[in-house]
This record gives sequence, structure tokens and C-alpha cells, in this order.
Amino acid sequence: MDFEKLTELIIELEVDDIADAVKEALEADGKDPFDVLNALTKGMDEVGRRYEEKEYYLTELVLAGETMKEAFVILQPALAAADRSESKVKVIIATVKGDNHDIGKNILGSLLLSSGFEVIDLGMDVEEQAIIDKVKETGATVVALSSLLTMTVEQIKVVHEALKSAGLRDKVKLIVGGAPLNMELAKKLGADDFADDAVDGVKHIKALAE
Amino acid sequence: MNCRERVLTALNLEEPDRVPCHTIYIDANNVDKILGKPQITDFDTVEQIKRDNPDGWTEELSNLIESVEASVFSRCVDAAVEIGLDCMQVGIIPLYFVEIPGDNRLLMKDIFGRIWEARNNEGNFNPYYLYGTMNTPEKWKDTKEQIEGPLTEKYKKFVRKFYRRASKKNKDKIFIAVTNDLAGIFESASQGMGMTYYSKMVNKNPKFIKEVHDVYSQFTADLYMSYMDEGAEFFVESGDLAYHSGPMMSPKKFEELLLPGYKLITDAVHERGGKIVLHTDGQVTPLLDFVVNCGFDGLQSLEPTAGVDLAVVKKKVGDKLCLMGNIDVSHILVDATKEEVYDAVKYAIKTGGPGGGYVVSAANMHPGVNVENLKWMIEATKEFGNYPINI
Repeated sequence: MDFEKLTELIIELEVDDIADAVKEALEADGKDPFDVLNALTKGMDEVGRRYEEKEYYLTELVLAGETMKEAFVILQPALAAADRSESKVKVIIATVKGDNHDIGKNILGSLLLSSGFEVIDLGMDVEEQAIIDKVKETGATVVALSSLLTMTVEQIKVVHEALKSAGLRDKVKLIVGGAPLNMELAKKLGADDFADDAVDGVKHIKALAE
Repeated sequence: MNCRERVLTALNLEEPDRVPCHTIYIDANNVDKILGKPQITDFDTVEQIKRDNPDGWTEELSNLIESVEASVFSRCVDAAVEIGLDCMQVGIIPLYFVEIPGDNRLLMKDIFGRIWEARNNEGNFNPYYLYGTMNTPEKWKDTKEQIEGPLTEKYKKFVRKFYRRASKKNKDKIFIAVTNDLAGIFESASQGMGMTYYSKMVNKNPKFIKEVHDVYSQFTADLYMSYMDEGAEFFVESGDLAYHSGPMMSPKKFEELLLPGYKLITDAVHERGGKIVLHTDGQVTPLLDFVVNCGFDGLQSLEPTAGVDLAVVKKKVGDKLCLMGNIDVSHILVDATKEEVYDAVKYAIKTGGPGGGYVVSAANMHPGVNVENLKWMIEATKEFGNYPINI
């Protein structure tokens, strides 16, 4: 299994074949898991480029995210076993309380993984206290929140205030995304940054993490 | 002109006496604010039925859905008349109550495989999509058999009764459109499967997706014809084909996989002299040609917060599509001042109104919309929407 093939499988969204391919690369070919990760990342970078160029749309991004997730089921233990003690930036992702949309959040999670972040996915409809607890437990420095409903955007402010009350607000960057939001509203609600979509989100989180 | 003539003139891309005013819905909490709260709420009924029939409450509640839906939309039309809208839409949602072990929420399922939570909106049901379950070929086989068979007949009867009940009191006071909001072809397919499975099939088995769209389109067309038997003339197909940043899939894929289904329903409606527009929020500009090619008479939503520029849309397809919408529901109709609402309406009329073919309309609807702001939208339309436009 050569690296180009792995990259290609991600680009072509081969969700049913990627796990076997990663397994083959690691077990039969004895490849370094970090080289496998780089090959997958190259694929996701190309998916992101195609999305920005309007060659790929949301359905392709969703499937690319799933393909990456399948790859990580196999790759993650190998990466952990070959731990190079690199300290990764930890990002907590969640959809705010009252909101059960997770498409954008899940794509962001996959893109962040492939970009070398450690992703802690708290899921959907997440209470502010769960976010605070996770920040304390993991030392995450970025919290990325999704809100697709006009009715739930205020929840961003609730998280911002809760982080402040817990004395954590200056230790984490808060970035948000979702249909009813824009940069102005995001700032008004106490967030540090806003991203238009998942691809944009990765760029912003990279900048925040620097 | 009366409301019907005003809206139909706009749909014919001509200038009525005044720009019409429409919303896709008024949420039940706001209906209560306009009409007063009913003595018994939906959730009172649920509690009562659960108490009386702890073992068979889901079935008993599901049997009530037809009358609940008719009553909800009937009150919605009453409220629309009360605040002075020209057009309001009604339509059934094919839901029934279910219990899922381990999940204590009040849950509903629809015939397309979606699981919904009946959220409590100040005592009223507010269906909230949770996830899809129609995610294997076997499940599709069952769904298809049901929809092509008994469900079509069941719901054809249901919609006739529903439309009679929802429209009888007010049909001379307001133009009543029909919608399949929450049951549109695309959303039923994509949400019914869940976006992950839908995305996989779109990319790996597009024939399957086309078949699903086609079956749902035929079902929709059959129901629309039954509505027409009862006098309906105007339909709003609920699409949600786009999100904040753009279309859910490429315009080319929409043309291949969804256009034939949409064409089936637009042709059916047109053949009997009706009108049909597409509702889709999100950044829809890249799909304008698609909407025209599908045979729709108009496009509803034109969501400003998704970056839809009414001037651009008017210039590009204003001679082909009646444009409805562009009044923002994240700020303008939620917590904006009267002046801001008036400015938004004036801008929309000035931009979309000249030459006809424009309807002032909220880009979407949700329980957080403020009744006062809705009234300002209507007032401003009546003050500044008279032809010839002079703003």
C-alpha cells in the first residue's frame, strides 16, 4: 500500500475501503503510522481545496469526514503506541444545548484530526457545565461551538459566562459557527472568533492556536 | 384586489395593487399571543392521555394527530387573518408518536424514517428533527412499498379532510397556500436517511437517491392533486437545499437527481392551473437556474443572513421567478426596532418590487420571532408596497 493510494482513497471518498487500506499499510507494509497520517492529511487537504473551489459540496465533505473517521479507528491505536510525545493542541467541539445539529461539527472534527489537533467531541445538545468540566479535565485551549438555531445562539453567551465564572475564559479561545451567526454576533455573544463553515473553521482554529 | 388576486398577480410576475405579504407559518406560541391561549394545550392532552392509557398512549395520541394538525393550522390561518397577512400556508406532516426504549423524550416518527422530538413550545407541539433511520436497502424496500401503497391512499384522504377544516373559515379573508413543510422531497430523503448515509449514497449510488426522490415526488404530486380537488391553487414545496455557505450538493447533482422529481410536481400543478414555488433557505444563489429549470413559479426565503442578495437575484431571475422573502428572522423579526423593520421592508420592496413578481415574506419562521415585529413588517408593506412603487 503506497501513500499515494491512501491519499487517493480519501480524495475519492472511499469510505468502505479506507480501513482495510490503513490496516494493510500498517500491518503488512509496516509503515510508520505518522507517515500514514500524513498521507491521509494530504487527502483531506485536497478535499478542502476542492470544497473551496466548488468542486465538492457538503455531501462530499460529510463523506470525506466519515472516511477519515473510519481510517482513524485503525490508525489511532497505532499513533498512540508510537507516541512521539508531541503535544497536540486540544480542541473541544460541541453543539450547544438545545440544538441537535451535528453535520458541521462532525466535519470540523475530522478536518481537525487530520490537521494534527487532538479533538474532544462532546456531541450535541451539550450543557455548559459539561464543557467547563472537560476544559478542566483535558486542559483544552480551544472550544469550538456550533449553533444552527436562532433560538440557541444565546447559549454561546452562557458558555462564555460559565467559562468566565470558572476562571477559564482567558485560558481558552472560543470559536463559533452556524447559520444564524456572523462575526459581529459571535463577538457580541462573547466568542473570540467565527467561521463560515468547517473548512474555514480549521483555518481559524490554526490561527487561534498559534 | 383581494388577497388571492394580489398574490396570484405577483406569482404571474405582474404588478398587483400592492406588494403582497406572506409568512410560511406562525409558530403556535405566537398564534397564542395573537389569538389568546386555548384552555387545553397540546401537552395537557398528552398528559391526560398518558394518564388514561399508560400502555397504548402512543397509538391513541397518533390517532389524534389528524385533528391536532388541522386545528394547529386552522388557528395559524386565524392568526394570519388577524394580523393582516395576504397569504398563509397549511399542510399536513405525516407523523405518529413512538416510544423508543431508553429515550424518555416525547418522540414522533414520520413515514420517511425521521425521528422527531415533540418539544414543548409554551404548551404546543414543536416538532424538532433528531435523526434518520431509513439507512439500509431493506428499510428502503419497506418504505417504498408503504408509500407507493397504503400510505398514499391514507394521506390523500387525510389531506382532503385537513384542507377543508384548515381553510373553511377563512378562505375569503386570506389566500391559503399549501405546503409540505417538514415533509419536502429533499429534506425527507436526506434527513430520513441521515446526512451521512444520504451523502454516501449520493456519491456512491446516485441511482438509489434518484429513485428515493422520484418515489417521494410521486407521493407529493398525488397529495397535491388531492389538495387541488378541495380547491387549493398555490403550493410551496419545502426544499432546504442549501445551508449558510451554499448548496448541499452541486447544482449538477441537483439537476441529475432531483430535477426530474420536482418537474413531475410542477407539471402536475401547472396542468391544473395552479402555481408552485420552492422554499429553501440558505445561500441559494448558485441554484437559481436549477429552480427555474424545475418549473417553479417562484422562490421563497432569500435569506439575507446567508448572503442572498435580493438585487442580484432580481436581476438574474426576476423575469422568471416570483421572489418571496428576504426579511431576516435572526434579528429583524426577532429583536429589531420598528425603524429597522421598516427599513428592511422598504429595502426589499424597493429592490424586489419594481415590475411586480415580489412578495414581502419572512425568510423563515421560528418560535423566537416577535409578533410585534411581524405586525410592523405587515404595516410597512401596506404603507410602502403600493404600486407604482415610490420609495
